[in-house]
Amino acid sequence: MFSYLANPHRFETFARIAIPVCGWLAVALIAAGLWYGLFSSPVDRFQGDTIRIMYVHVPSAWLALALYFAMGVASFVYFIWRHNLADVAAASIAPIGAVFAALCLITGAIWGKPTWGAWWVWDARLTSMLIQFLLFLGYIALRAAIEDERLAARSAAILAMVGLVNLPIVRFSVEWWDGILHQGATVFRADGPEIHGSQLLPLALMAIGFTLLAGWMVLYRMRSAIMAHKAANLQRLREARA
Amino acid sequence: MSGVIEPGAYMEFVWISYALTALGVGGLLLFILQERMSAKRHLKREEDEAGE
Repeated sequence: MFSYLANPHRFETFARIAIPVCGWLAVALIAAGLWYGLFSSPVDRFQGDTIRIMYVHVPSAWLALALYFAMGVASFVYFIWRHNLADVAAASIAPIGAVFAALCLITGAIWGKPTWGAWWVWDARLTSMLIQFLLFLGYIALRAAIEDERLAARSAAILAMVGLVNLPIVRFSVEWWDGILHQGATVFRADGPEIHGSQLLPLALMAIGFTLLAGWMVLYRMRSAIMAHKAANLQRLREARA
Repeated sequence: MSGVIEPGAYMEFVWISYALTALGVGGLLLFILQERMSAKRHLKREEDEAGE
């Protein structure tokens, strides 16, 4: 798969089909998810209407982790096999992941105030998620700070790979540490989802919709980056001839 | 959790969450579209220069 898409022409063909498919499906699913989440799904027995924050908070959290994983894998592929397209993918993912991680933290704080009575607590889940957000920012800052493009790509790839360690910490923090305020897993459980179907439907619609939207964003950014690289190469050639 | 939240209570928290999410995603979309336009303009300029 990686080798197949490493060819820019094959990637271009794939992206031309995948971008509109992801985009339109994302619009449809998010529209349906918003309708169910805000108006159609029932209130929660304990959390009342504040449960509706879950439909934007959980997809943002899921995407922050999934995008970091994708960035780490792309960085690994670039670091080992020097596929330039993998580096383009990692660089394209970083700001998107940072925004979703920020949204996860912000909506989590807003949900925390009425349910826990606090905007923020330094428990393992919240703290590890904050570290995840800072890892995205660190990746972006490191790339921007180094002028040599190859060195920047390699250094950022190392940071992205090291940061992968934090993913299981975020995921399993609610099981590994005692006294965690954040609730445990309710959807991806060995014995099946713990939430009611009327809440699972909008959550699934929003999570799949957000994932497709993020896929659209990454592919769109990758094509823009390829255009920018082509332009920069032409500019270098022109300047060398002059 | 110490108690039960009544239906309809804290609705402003819900709306603010959705508004901030829309703002974040919308801002990201604008940034991505602007980035594409800039890359397209740069490429066209260089292709025109190369063609001359």
